[in-house]
Amino acid sequence: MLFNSFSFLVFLPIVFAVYWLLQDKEETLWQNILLIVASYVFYGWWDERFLLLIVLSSAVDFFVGQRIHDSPSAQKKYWLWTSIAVNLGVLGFFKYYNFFVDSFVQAFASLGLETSAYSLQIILPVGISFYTFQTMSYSLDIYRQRLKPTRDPFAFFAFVAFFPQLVAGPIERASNLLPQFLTTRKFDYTKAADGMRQMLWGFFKKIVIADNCALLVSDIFDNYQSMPGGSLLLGALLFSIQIYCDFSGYSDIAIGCARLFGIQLRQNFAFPYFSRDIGEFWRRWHISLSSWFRDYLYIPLGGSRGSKAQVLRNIFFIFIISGLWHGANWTYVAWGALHALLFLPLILLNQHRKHTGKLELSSLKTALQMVSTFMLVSLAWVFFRSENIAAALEYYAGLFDASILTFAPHKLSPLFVWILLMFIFEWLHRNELHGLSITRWKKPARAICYMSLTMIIFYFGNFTKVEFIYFAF
Amino acid sequence: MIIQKDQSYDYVFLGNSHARNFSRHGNHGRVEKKLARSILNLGQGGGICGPNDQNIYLSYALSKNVKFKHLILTVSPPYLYGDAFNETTLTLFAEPFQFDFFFHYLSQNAINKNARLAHYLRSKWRPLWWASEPTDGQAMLDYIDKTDSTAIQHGFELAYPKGRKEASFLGNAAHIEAAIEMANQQRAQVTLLSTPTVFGHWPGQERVARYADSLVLVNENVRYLDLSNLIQDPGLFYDHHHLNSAGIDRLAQELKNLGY
Repeated sequence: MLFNSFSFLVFLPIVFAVYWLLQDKEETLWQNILLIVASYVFYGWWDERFLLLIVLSSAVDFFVGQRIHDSPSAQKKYWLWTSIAVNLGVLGFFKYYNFFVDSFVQAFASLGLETSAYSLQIILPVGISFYTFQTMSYSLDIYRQRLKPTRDPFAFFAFVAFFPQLVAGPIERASNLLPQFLTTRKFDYTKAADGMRQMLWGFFKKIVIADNCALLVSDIFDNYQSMPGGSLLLGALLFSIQIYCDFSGYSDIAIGCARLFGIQLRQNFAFPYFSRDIGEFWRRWHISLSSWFRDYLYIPLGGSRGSKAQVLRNIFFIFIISGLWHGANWTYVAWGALHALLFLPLILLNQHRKHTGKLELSSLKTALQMVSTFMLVSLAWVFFRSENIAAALEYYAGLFDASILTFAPHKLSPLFVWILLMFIFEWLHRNELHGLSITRWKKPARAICYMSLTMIIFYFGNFTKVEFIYFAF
Repeated sequence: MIIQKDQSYDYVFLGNSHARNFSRHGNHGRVEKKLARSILNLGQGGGICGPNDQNIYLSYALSKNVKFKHLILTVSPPYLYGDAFNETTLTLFAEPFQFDFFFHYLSQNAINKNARLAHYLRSKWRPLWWASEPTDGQAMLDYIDKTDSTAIQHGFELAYPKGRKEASFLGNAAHIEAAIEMANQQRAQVTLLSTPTVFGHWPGQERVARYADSLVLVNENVRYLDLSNLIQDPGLFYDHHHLNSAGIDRLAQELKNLGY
C-alpha cells in the first residue's frame, strides 16, 4: 500500500480509531496485535508472498536475540552470525544475486572467457533493505550488551513490522523503538496534531514536488543525448530535488503517521541541502542509514583512528557499501565512491566535523558553501539516476560542454513555485523537526496554511503511479 | 455513470467508442426502437477507457442489481492491443461524482487507479466541468467524401503507437474473459462484435478473430460477429471507423436482420 493512495486514506483512520479504542486494554498487548495485523495488511497489499519473508526475519531474530543473551560467551558469536547470515542471506539473494551473476559473466567475457550462468526471475521484496538492517541491529546490540532481548513476541513483531516505517525507513534502532512497544501508549493531542502537520508536509513534498519533478527528470534523462548542457544541468538539479522530496517526504509521512499512534521515530533528514560541506551533508541525509553504517561498520573497522591508509580504506569501504545498499548496479557503487572522494579531503584535514550545530546564514561565505555543497551533491546524483556507468559519463560530457547555458523548452511552472515554497519553509524551520513546524503561528494563519497546502496537493499533485524511489531498496 | 438500481435490460453494450457510438448523437433511442430492445450502453469513447475499466463499469452495474440478457462487447485490434486505454487517467473526468461509484472503483484493480480517482475528484472542481452541458442529441450528419489512405495509415499508427504486442493483447484478453464470466453469472448471451470500418479489417484483425473463435469454442453462449466489411460506403461514416447516424441506423437494421 502506498501512502499517497486512496486505499491508505481509508486504511489509516480505521486503524487509528481501533488502536486508540484499545488503549488500556491489557496494557500494550491488543494495540501491538492490531499494529501487527495492520502492518501485514499494509505490506501484503503489494504482494502477500513477501509476508513470509518478514515473518521469517522477525521469528529468527526474536529467537536468536534470546539465544545470544542466554548463551555462554563462547556461543554468543555463533548465534549472532546466524542472525547476520539469515538477514544478509535473504537480502543478498533477493537483491544482489542477479547483479553478481551478471557482473561475473561480464567480467569473464571481458577476459575472453565465455561462461554461462543461471540468472533467476527474482522479484525484489519491498523494503527488504530496511527491515533486515533493523532486525540485524537488534541482534548486534544484544551481542554488544547494549540491549536486553524482549520476551514479548507481539512487541517484537510489531517493532519489526510497524507499517509507517516498514518499507522505506527510518531504519530504527531497537533501543529507541522497541521499548515504545513495551510501554503503554496514551493519546497525546499535541503530538498527534504535529504528526498530522508533518504528514501534510510530507505529502506536499512527495505528491506535488517529487512526482512532478519525476516527469521532467525522466524526459531529460531518457533523452539526454539530444539535450543541451543547460537541460542536463537542470535535470541533475531537478533529480536532486526529486530524490530529496521523495525520500524526506516519505520519512515525514512515516514519522508523522507514527506519532498518531504515540510512537516516536527518529528524524531521518535534517535539511541536508543547507549543508555547508559534504561531512555535514552526510550527518543530515538519511541519518538512520548513515548512523547504522557508522555504528556497525565504520567504528568497528577503526573509524578515523589508525593510520591514514586505514582511514582511507574505511571511508571508501563505507561509502561504497552505502552505495551498494541503494541498489544492485555499478552506478550506485560509483556514486558511493564519488562521495568518498568528496569526503576524503575533509577527513584527512580533520575538517569533517567543522559544521555541527544549528544552521545559520552568517555570511556570504556560508551561503557560497551551501550552494557549492548542493551543486556537488546534485552532480553526484547523476550516477544514482543513470542506467549505467556509460550513460552517466555521457551525461556528464553533455553537461560540461559549451551548451551549458542552453536549455530545451521545459514546462517548469508552477513546479518552481512549489520548490521555492518548500525551500522557504524548510529554511524558516531548519532547526525544527520538520518544515511545517508552525505551532507558533496564530491559529487563522495556520488554518490558511493547512488549507492552502491541501488545495495545492489536490490540484497540482501528481497521483500517477510513481512509487517512492526508495521502495526499490 | 448514473445507473438505476434493480433495472433489467435486454442488451448491455461494452467497449470503446465503437460501442459508445450506438448511443451518441441521439442514436440510442433510435437503436432501441429499431431493435425493440432496452439497452444499457457502458461503452466509453474518446480513447479514455480500456477493457479493465469497462469491467469496472460492468461490475458497478451488477452491484446495482442490474440484470441483462445479452452482452454485446465491441472488439477490435486497437481495443485488444492498446495499452494506452488502460493507462490513461482521464477515464472518469466526465462522470458525476458519486460516493458509491468512488468506493466501488477503489475496491477494484486498475493501472493508475489513484491518479484516475484523483482526476475524478479534481475534475468536479474545474471550470470545464461547471461549464459542461448535456449533448443536444442531434444526429451526426457528417460524412467522409472518400477514403483517405494517408489518414487511415495515420490512424493505424495512433492506434498502436508501440506496435502490436502479444503481451498487451493477452493482458486485455483476460479482461474480455472476465466480462464474459460476469455475463455467465447472469446466464446472458455474449456477442463479440467487430463493427464496420470504411477500410474493412484493421491490421491485426486476424488475431482478434482467432481469439474470438477460441472463446466461441469453449463458451456455448458466446458468438463472434465480424461486421468489419459490412458497410463501406464513406457516406455512412463520419470518420474512417465511426458510423454517422445514418450508418448506425443501417447497422441496427442489419443486426435486426441477424436476429438481434
